[in-house]
Amino acid sequence: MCKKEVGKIIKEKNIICIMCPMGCLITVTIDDNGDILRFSGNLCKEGEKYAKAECTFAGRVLTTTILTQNSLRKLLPVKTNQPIPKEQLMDAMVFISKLKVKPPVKVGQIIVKNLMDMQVDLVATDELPM
Amino acid sequence: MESQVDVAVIGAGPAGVAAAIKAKEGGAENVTIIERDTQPGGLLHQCIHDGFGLTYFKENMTGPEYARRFIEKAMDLKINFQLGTMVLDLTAGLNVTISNKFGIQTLHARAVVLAMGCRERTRHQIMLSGTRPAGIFTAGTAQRYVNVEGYIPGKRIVILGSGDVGMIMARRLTLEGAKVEAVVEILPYIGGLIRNGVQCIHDFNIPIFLGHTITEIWGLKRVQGVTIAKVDSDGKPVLGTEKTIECDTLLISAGLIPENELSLKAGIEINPITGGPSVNEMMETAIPGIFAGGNVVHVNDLVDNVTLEGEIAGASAANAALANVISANRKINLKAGKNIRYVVPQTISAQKETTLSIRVGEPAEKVMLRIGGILSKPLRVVKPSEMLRIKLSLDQLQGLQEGIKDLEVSCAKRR
Amino acid sequence: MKKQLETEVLIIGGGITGTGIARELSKYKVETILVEKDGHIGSGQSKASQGMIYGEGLLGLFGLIAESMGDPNIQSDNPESTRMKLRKEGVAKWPQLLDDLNIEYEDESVLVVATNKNEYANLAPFLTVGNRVGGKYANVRWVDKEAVFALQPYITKDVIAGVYSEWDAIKTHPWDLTIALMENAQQNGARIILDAEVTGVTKKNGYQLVETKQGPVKTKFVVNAAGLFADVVADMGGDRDWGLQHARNTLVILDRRVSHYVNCTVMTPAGLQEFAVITRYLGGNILINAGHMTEAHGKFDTGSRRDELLENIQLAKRLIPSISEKDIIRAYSAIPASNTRNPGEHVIEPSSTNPKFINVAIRLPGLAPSPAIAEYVVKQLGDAGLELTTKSDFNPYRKAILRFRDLSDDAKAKLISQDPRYGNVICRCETVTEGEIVRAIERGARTVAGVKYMTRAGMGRCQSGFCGPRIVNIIARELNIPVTKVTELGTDSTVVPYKSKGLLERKAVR
Repeated sequence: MCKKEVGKIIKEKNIICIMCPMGCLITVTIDDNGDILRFSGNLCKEGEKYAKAECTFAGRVLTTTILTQNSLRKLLPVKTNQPIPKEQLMDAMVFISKLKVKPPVKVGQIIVKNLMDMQVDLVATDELPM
Repeated sequence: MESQVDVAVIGAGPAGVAAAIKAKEGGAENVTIIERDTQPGGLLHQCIHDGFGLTYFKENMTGPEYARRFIEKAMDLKINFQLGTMVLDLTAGLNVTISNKFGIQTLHARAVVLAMGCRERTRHQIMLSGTRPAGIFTAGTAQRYVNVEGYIPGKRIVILGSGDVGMIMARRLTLEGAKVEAVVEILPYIGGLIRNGVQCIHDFNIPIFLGHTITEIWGLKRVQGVTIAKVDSDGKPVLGTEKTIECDTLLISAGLIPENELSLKAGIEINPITGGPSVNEMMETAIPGIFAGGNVVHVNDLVDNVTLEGEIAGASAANAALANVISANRKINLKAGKNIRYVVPQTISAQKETTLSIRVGEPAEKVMLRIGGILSKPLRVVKPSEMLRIKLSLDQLQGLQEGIKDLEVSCAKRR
Repeated sequence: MKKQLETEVLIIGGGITGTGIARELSKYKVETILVEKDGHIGSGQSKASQGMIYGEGLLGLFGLIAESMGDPNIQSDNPESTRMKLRKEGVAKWPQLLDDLNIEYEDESVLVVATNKNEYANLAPFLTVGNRVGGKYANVRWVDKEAVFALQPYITKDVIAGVYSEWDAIKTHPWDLTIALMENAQQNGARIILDAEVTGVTKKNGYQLVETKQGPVKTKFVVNAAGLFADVVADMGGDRDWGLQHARNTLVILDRRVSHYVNCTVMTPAGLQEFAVITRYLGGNILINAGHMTEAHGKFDTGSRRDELLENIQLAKRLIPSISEKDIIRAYSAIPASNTRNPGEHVIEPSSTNPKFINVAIRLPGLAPSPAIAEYVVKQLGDAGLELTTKSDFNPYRKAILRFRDLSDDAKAKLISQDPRYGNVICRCETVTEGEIVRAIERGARTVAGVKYMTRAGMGRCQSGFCGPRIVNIIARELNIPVTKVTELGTDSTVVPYKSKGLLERKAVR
């Protein structure tokens, strides 16, 4: 949504804060340089911090499963060890869907280093015993 | 076949394993956990998402990681696991009859911890109109298929209920390539954590219909669609607002019911509000020697709290097994007052520090939580989906009048 | 192209009628195939029945009064009618059959109670049953309020009086009957094909060609026992001068935990718009058939409607106030059909244009007359030219289905030592083991529903929430098919159609 205000082109982003059960709907006003002008709708500073983080980098930890080979367990649960951009979640799922992992695997073991060049590793969250 | 155990724990989910660990650490020698699945961990195995351990470990873990911490500790402590084993009977005399591929056994226990968790509310229990085709699952069963068995229940999904399980499955199925056509929620707000509302529904642009319900299921062999309608303030469908959504799968996320069939077999009365046995602060049921912790007592929100309850139950079970009688001469009933749905434990001795788990009845803002005359706490917002845990110190409890039998917990609006 | 099968008699429909006929025919040296459109036996109205085999007692009278309320032209109580004769014969034959086939059953008492003036006025006909019919029903007696309470501690305080029949029916699980009849028929040479809906019948020279979804069957004779679809199938075989009309009942099953609410069948007197019949299944679940007379919206109207469930519970509460919708574990609708030519009668006759095509379109009650109808149909086949030579090696006995939960601990232990799969409890609610499920599949179950009706796995309060995935895995393993091909009910009802990651294969990476 674009508005003109005192000659600057401004964007407004709506973010639902997840820091406490209030779930404030925070409106973040951003100018055309990408600088945040103001926050409104938040009842506390935590909300500002969260909203700022979401505007700069809306990251999500991806938790999913990988198919296995040579194992009684059919799936190994995995997660990214850091958040990845939420826009990349589906692509990451497609990438991971083509992989297969063999035992033994320990919790925390890196399954894919630097997943899709995002500087984030995919690690096992459970073990795959022999 | 018969054998003696000090503490028998029924269920190797988070409550059971935590209980077994504390029982062993509390001095009980032979601690046996009986688990019907082929691996310990309970439902944590299929909860591959994160959000576990935030309070207990101050880490953000996935379900399997959380489970693994405790399972490893239990193994280190040489706790016996009887996996792939079903409890067929439990008596008030603490006899546990079990069945597995090796045969039938009766364990004579000095103390028992019930940690059977919950089952899910079914389509029939909520009286959903329509046919009975293939393609209708409770959300947890669908989660088992997707995260453990390796199968996707359908391509076009509708989910009834916006509790955490429902929302988590909305995200999971979308990530696995299915299309979630709608999440339908009868209340005017989502049933689970806001975090899930954002990261499971909002992030994926999944259509969510608040203040709606499903009025009919269609399809003879396999689900073909559902009809949804707006509801009025009584939760009744409003004529003329019906809308049909095509789908091939319906997930029901309509709540959990503590699984107390064994408790009933032992003669333990089930509290109609919590769905579980009434317990005191030692997590002891009405039957001496039988303790309970976790979702079998009441439906928790956070596994961290399930662990804490299990730990108390396990420690108490060890005391009972070792015949360290800690007599609670005083018995004070906790009464649910204004806007309180229930309080666990239901009775306390007021002789030691106790943490109460409190669930409010309805969402409210700017309230005052009162516990008798000994605690007043202003809260900005309370929601039924987020349980309150309030610690009462020994000092506070000693401030109670002599001879008091009841303590009311209430949550009224502040003036 | 599927291989063409050949037989002498093709029975269409695996309900109580078709399986009864198959079993009867298997006494003779006659090649028989039964085709069933769904994935399991007794999948239609047979399993929807309350499971009572009854004749002329209180239940019988209830049915007759209800029928004549629905249609005053029905001359229901004529003892000379074919229908009443077949019912009487059937009731007499069932005890031997139940024992031979090792089917679980119990003798059932029935109590009709009045809780208000209208109901009280309708009690009278029930009281005369004892004198009128005599025999097993001679002890039908009046019970005053105190006596009712003694019989039924959970009955409403408003009860005025009742009529009690100490022995009124044989109580069974209706699906057990169809399964047992078909098993015994198969033991004696009959064949069954599931998922084999009939799509057409062509009269050829000297035989009939029946097209099914599993391929064509060449047969000399056809028996149309297709239940609700008997009219549709009749049209395929020839002409008919009758149609089917469909009524509808809503039935509710309660959690076994409240099985103590009744200890025999309790019902309101017939003759009123609203009725309630509360029964307890052998397994302990209470089954409530309550509501008011309605018409079905077609043959597939077996779903349930919330308002009807609430009405069902309301009416049941008037008899047993403790009953609550909180205890519902399952609900469905039954579709009692009758023919339009003579609603009080069965249609059991060859097609006017195809003498070797026997139409068997029966009406309620369908369990009781089954053995007699079977004999009657075999006779008609004989009259139509089928050669009936009895088999000397006919085996009337069927081995009982083993129920782990009913065994003593010692017997359980022994069983497990012989086959460890009996120690692996799969269905927690009903205590059904892997061993029993494997046996059910060996005995012919092919689907989740098939396993359910043979073992009870999935009939409990969690409605296969826990055991569902395990049962699906066992079926896939035993039938050597992918899990994605295991079905709930037969064709087009796969449980989990896609493998993990299977839906992502179709998405390209941007």
